[in-house]
Amino acid sequence: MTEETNAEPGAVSTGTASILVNVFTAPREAFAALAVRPTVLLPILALVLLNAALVAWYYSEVDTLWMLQTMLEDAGQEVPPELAGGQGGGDRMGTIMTVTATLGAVLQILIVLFLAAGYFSLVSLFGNDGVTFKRWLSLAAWSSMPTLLGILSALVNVAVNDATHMRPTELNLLSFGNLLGIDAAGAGAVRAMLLAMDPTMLWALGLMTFGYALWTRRSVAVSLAIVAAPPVLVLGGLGLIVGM
Amino acid sequence: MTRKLLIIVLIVAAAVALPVVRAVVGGGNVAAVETETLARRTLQASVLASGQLAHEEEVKLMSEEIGRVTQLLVEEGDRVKAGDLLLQIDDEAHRAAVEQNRAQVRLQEIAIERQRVRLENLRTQWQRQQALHERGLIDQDSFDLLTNELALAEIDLKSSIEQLSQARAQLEQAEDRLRKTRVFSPIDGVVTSLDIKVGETAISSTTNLPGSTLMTIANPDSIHTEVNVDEADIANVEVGQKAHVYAIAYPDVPISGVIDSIAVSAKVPEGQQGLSFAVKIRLDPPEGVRLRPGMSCRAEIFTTTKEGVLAVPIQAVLVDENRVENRTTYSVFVNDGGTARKVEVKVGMSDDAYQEVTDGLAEGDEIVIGPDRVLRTLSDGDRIRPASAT
Repeated sequence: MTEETNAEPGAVSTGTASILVNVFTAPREAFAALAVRPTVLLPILALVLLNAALVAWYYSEVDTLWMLQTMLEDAGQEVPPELAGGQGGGDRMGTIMTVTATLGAVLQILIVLFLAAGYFSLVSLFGNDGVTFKRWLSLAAWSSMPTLLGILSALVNVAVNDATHMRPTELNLLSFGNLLGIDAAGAGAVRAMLLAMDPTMLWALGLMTFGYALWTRRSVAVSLAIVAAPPVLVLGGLGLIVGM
Repeated sequence: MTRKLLIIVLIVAAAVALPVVRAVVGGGNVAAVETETLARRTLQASVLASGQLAHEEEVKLMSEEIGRVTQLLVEEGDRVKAGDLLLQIDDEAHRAAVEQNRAQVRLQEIAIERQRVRLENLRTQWQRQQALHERGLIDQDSFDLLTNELALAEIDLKSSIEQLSQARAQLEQAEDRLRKTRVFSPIDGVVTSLDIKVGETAISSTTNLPGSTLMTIANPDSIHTEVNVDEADIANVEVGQKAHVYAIAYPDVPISGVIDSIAVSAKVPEGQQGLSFAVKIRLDPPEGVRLRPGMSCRAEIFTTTKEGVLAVPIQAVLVDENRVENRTTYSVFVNDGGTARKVEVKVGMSDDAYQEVTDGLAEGDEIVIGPDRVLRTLSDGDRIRPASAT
């Protein structure tokens, strides 16, 4: 089947700037434009660069040794002697952690986006809706734009507050856990999920569902089930692991 | 489009506002710390050492005579008094020797008596012969013969008297050896070790060969410990200082003790490398604690005690060494209404847990004592959230 579109060519603005604005304010127009001209570079670059900047800045500020000790104690695990008696993070350990964490963040974003696009493509094969991999990738990338608000908030948090003794879970003040005033210290699957998730993620999920429904002409409920299936399974699995 | 941009600006502003508000109103990221209220305490500086328990008064009984043990009147653990008979070695041969020597003495006495009678007889004869010789009634030769016989009799008597002394001496020796077949306790105490059984042969010591150890008797009330104090710490240790001793068998029971003596010279204890001085600690074990010689133990010797001093946990004291100026400064963080204030202090003595503060702080100050990972990077003026330890 040839690629189908939901909008008349030329009726929507396909410029990247317009799409960026419309993703937040008029998603229907944004996805209609993407159906005509699927672009991926700007959103992927924005996600990668802002995440990398946040991770690099945070790890350059935080006391690495303190962070490792605190994370182990928060998880209810014993701090090994070589960490317990240490004096400061040490420049070398901090640099290594900054580099590895930054690279890890970049790779994680790319992997998640490509996996999402691959998943939708697989579903498309079975559903025979004719949407290409690139279009799905653009859906995943542009739908993730609201999460930039969380990253931006975290960047400002590191900028204006002393991050030396800031837990990773305290970075994003928009997270449900921080909005509800949940103590960042302590173990527990539910606590971990609330501290890890924020409203912008739900917003992104909603956008993806909307875009999927628009392009495949499926109902919202079915679209939601298809879109939400992978993250629910992953979160559920992680929750089980954390709970154990 | 303008309306859309405005909406985006408002959304971004809301996202950015939260951390800014937190920094302005909440004072930023607040470090959680443990605090303790500064109070007066008793500090006891101490020196640690390890060693073993031993009895002060202990006697190893060894056999002085060779022979088979015929009777054992004690068992291990029995209490004995000084003079109690403990053990009997076969004395048949020794009794016979004594009898033999007694007979020898008697024979010698009889011989002396006989010789005295003979001598007396000869003297009488000689006096008679002398009278006759003066009148010329007997010749010179006969008189000389009698005179000679008299002299010889006197010599024989002297010889017999010496032989009697010799026989008496031999008798004493035999009696002494007979006495040594009975082993008596030299002290009041407890039989801590019994190394021989009835029927076994006790061997006496010679110059090159140590004899059998029969048993060991010790005074259990004289138990003490001898610990090895490192040469670096010995300068602070003095006779009369108190100590707590912990035997391996009773690791949680402190046994009070007092230093009795300190070795004059250092030695290298077996199994160790550095020099140390042997320190004897007299013990006062509590009831229910059964100490045995040979038990390993560790001792905490209290070298200095100060009461009622202001002291902070050692981990709260930050040390700053300035090698250029060759100066060391000490400081602690004080909680000043949610803000950490770095205060320079002067310090005195310390024990395992607390450091005396002689200047810079006042009783009642709230001191930041941890956690260490926060204390390491805390700066003057940082916001803190105390969770009081005391």
